[in-house]
Amino acid sequence: MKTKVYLVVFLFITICVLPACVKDFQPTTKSYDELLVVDGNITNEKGPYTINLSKSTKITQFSSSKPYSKCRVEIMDNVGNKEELKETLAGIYKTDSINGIQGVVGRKYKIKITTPDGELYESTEEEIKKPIGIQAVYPELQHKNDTKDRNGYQFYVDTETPATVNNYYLWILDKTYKFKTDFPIHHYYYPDMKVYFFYPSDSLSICYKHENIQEFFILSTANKNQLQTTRIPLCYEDNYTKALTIRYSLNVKQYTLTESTYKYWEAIKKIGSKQGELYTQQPYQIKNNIINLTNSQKPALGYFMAAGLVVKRIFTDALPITYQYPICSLPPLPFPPLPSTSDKWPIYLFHDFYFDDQGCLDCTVSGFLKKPDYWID
Amino acid sequence: MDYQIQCKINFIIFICCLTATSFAQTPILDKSYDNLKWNDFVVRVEQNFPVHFYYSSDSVFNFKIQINAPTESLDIVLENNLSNKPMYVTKDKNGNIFITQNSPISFKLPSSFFNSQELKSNVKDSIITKNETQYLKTKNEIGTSIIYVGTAKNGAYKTEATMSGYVTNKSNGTKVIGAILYIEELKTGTTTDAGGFYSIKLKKGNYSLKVYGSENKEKKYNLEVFSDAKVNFALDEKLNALNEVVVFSEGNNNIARSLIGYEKLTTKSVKNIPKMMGEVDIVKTTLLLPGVQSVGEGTAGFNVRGSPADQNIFYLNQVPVYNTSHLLGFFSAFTPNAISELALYKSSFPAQFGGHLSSIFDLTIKQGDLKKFNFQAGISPVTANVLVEGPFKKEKSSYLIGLRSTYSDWVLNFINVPAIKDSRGGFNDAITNFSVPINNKNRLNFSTYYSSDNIKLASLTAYDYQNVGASIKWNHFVKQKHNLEFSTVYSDYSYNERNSSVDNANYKLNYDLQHIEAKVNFRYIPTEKHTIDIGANSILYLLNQGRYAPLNSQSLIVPITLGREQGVESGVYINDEWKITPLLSFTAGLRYNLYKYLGPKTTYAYKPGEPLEIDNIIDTVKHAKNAQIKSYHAPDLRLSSRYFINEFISLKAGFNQVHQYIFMLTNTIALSPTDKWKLADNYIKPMSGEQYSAGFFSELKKEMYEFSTEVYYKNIHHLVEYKDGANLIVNPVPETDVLQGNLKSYGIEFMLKKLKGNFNGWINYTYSKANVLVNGARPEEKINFGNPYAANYDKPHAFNIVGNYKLSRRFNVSANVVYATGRPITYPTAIYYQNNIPIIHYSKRNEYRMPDYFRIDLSINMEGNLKSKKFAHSSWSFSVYNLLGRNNPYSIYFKQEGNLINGYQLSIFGSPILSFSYNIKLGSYEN
Repeated sequence: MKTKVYLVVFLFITICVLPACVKDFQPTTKSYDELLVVDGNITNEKGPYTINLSKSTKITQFSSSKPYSKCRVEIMDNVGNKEELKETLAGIYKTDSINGIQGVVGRKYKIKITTPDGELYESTEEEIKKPIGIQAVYPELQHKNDTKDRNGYQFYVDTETPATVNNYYLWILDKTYKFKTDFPIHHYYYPDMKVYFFYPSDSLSICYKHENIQEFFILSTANKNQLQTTRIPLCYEDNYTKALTIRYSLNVKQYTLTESTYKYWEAIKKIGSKQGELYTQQPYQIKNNIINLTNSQKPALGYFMAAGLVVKRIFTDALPITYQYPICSLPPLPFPPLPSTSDKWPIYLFHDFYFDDQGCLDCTVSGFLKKPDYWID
Repeated sequence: MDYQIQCKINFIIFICCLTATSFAQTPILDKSYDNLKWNDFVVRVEQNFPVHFYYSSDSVFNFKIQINAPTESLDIVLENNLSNKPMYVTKDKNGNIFITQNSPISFKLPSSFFNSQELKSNVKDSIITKNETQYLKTKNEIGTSIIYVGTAKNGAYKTEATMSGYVTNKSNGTKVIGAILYIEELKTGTTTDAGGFYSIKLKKGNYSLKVYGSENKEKKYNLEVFSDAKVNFALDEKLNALNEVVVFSEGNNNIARSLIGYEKLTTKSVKNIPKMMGEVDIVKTTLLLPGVQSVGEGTAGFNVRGSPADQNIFYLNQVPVYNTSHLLGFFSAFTPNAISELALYKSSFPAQFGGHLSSIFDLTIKQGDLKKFNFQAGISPVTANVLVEGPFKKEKSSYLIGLRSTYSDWVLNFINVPAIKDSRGGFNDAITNFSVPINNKNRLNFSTYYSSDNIKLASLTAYDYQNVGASIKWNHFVKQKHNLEFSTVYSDYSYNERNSSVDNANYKLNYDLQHIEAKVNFRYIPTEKHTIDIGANSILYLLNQGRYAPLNSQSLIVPITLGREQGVESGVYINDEWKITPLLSFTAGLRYNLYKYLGPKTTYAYKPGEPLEIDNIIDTVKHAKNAQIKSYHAPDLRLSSRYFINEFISLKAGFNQVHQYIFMLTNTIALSPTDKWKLADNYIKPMSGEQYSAGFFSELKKEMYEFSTEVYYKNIHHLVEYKDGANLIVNPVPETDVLQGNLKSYGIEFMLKKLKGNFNGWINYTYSKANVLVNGARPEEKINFGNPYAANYDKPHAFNIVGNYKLSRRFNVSANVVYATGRPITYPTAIYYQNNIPIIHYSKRNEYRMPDYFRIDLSINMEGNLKSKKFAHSSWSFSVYNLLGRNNPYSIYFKQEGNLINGYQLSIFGSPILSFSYNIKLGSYEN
């Protein structure tokens, strides 16, 4: 909140008096590349469990995560069970679905990783807490005027009443929604420029789209005189996308954590994503639970999480509000000639009009046609 | 006859002064003078030595001179030959020897001779001759005038005499504080106190005396000390733009004073330094001195010798100012024209001062003109200011009122961007000073201070903060040299924040700090070798940590009352400045601090052996009003010493120990307007620190240059730091977020000043380091995994040049060059995913550095015509800040944008900033 304020201060000082200037800046950092990243959980839900191993990337190479292959990965519990995971895809290690190790509430688990270079990493022992159930997940129509004037659904969660006090929650969400393109398809053509008739014209109109919600939500009830927690705000879905236009499904994974695991997530939340301004706090390295036994100077990133898990999916229908998503508009007159080159063929046309953004006609540009198994209309 | 002789003498002295003959040593006569007749003896001595005899020709001089030893001084010869006769020998500094019959020359002039204005009121038995007065009028720089202190008759059976009096400004009659009276032969001297009074004890004899002040021209006198007397001095003020010293950061007395790590700036001297947005800012000018840094330009807070900003204290005529910035730090909150000078103590603190570890910024308010009404006004792109001053009763009491206000709202209205149009950034400040002498022995001074800021940012957040303060000081002089000073001080700092940036989380927050202080100081000067200060002070702190409450009914904020805090900090001290020998002086101070943290207050008890966390609270303890919750007490030892190797070189060393009982709750990189002061309590221990320093000071070419080097090592215990991610704004139990660590800083500072000439200024270079270590027993009690890290403001290399060149009598050009290593920064270094959520990994704390900082500023100052008689005088100043338009990084920040983390460098002064300011005042330049 302070951060935001400060930006505005700048704006004000900048424009009114001083010719300030913002330019791109890429720091040169060393020694943080190619660190082992552990991303995996074991829960009370039935296996197989997946551990993703990758190498950390520079912040400039955000999306290109490098899988860490050929590692030896073992999960063991505190009652003597032990399993070596199989690398099914590069960097993705799975337990056996039938005979593999099983997460049991109250047991403690740890992971052992040996890299191809012979470096040995081990996590601390993590207990699977008894999962607390979800009583309800529900949307509420809300108007917000924060970043812009927007309407949409604010989702809330109510937990079931747990048996114990001092509970730590983590909610991780993903969403699936049905959407429709702005225009039907009447024609299509291939590089030979022969135009074909497309039928039925709405067969690429309606798709499903699945996205992981990149925000996570946490709550600690330590020292609170309550057991059940209600109306915990989760994500807000606004009217600036097509998400709420037809039907929307929110999938809520509620993890019940140990205190130490909770502190890891809490730290991530506290640091936030925007950093470095003068009126922000110092960011810091978050303490995780993976220890490099070979070289203590070279840390590993990520967390091997053991947690109680319950999942709840809800569906909502279209919102009775005005949507503000950008609508495809016809190209201005005179219409440009049809392009003869493209990354993707065929090229679809609305009547004889071409859209640069093929997503205006073809929903598979961003979604998929097949109804997901979990989908209920 | 006496009268005639005196007339003759006066005339002769006048001539001698003009010819400026100096007669330093008494002539030595050999046996060849033996057995000469008196008349022949006189002729011969006058031929061979620069002496003249004056005697009445009717006197009987029919004897022969007898010289007993192989060589004898003239004094001895005269003594031996005349002592058995009814004749008296009197000589002056210029080699004139007067021989009178029956009685000695009393040097008592008719009262009509005391017609020099500055002497009229007080001088009774001192002698500054008419000749001198005339002489001063004609030629001030060359030659030396003579002062006869007392009379031979009064001092007949004594070996010592005390000379005391006032040093005043010739132009307006105000007292000069801290003026230096330096006896060259003894290599010692004294300074005037807060009332402009001095006192010095001397053996009878002849001395060369220099009298000067940081804002006053030096005057030289020859003293002939006979007996106790009052002698007042009136000094010309330095006319900085016209005369030599423009940029003056304490003159040659740096070599002589026993304090180390001390700097002094005067408003007059800094007014030609290039300005940011046209504002003269004496406090920000300290950033050009060695050892003073800030986190970034335009930020609040100063970091002196590796200490965080809350270890400084700012006093304005004894009123502590707890927030010294306007517009979040762009300007200092002190009306520039109303400040006369700033003394900065970086290392040796006199024992009078306690409570802040790193530095004291001691600002003195200008004293109102005692002679006539004066008005001045100025305008810059940001502010307009007015100053009025004058006597209530001529030469007795005076007033001064200075006001400054922004009119930037008016500028903002021209900007047609909604977010800007709705923003406001206004500030005001006002200073008054009233000086009321009750009588010769008692003087009263009353000053007030006010500053306020009203900042509103794009209709979302509004900050209002203000300082209000006042002080009353009563000086009582005992036997004209001891000074009893009693003061009461009140200061209040408060703010209000109204934040509506998040819709259902909008809130308001307030804060208030009151400082109520009484102090007494007795300065006792038993001999000229000792200046002893004994005193005590007691501060009552009343803090209201405020209330965090919803701003309106839409807000879902649960109100939190953060509670009040009370504390009393007291100290008793004794400080002795001891001039052991002319070459060696030593200052020792001992201060004993007692601090009590008082109720009413609710505190919490935590599980024994467990960390202080909310989860571990087991009990709530209610303390009654004024009940002692916790007390701390400790001694502070202060030592410093100066030794002259020769006339031009001195060595100094110092040890400084301080305890601090109030600190700032801040964990942002720069100070933010919502940071709060907090008292040490039952969990948070007071900070303490020691600093060891040593220095080499020298002057070259007759005070033309001064070169100094200082080294220091500072160790601070119980430094207040915060747990990672602590929220300090709304935390009713701050002890759960506080960690206490250790700060070590060290450095070496080099300073070369050119004090005189058409070109003057300074160059300094500082190498310094400041490292923090927070390494508690538990993982959450460590910062940076228990490894030391560079402080946020650690800038190892700093280099400053301040230069001023006088083009003509009316124009001068000034320039600054500023270089510093970039400040440390924690960078995001890697990205990884957990459960499909991208997470940023950061480097170790302050592992990297921002790019270096470099800036050149320029200013041209122009004075109106220099006619001595005119109604008003005006001056222009034109400044260019960041002449090269270099994009110096102010901050580097990172934003997640879509799937990318983008880094940005923000420069707030990305191009040269031009500003004009215009000042006008009544009278001519000199007034």
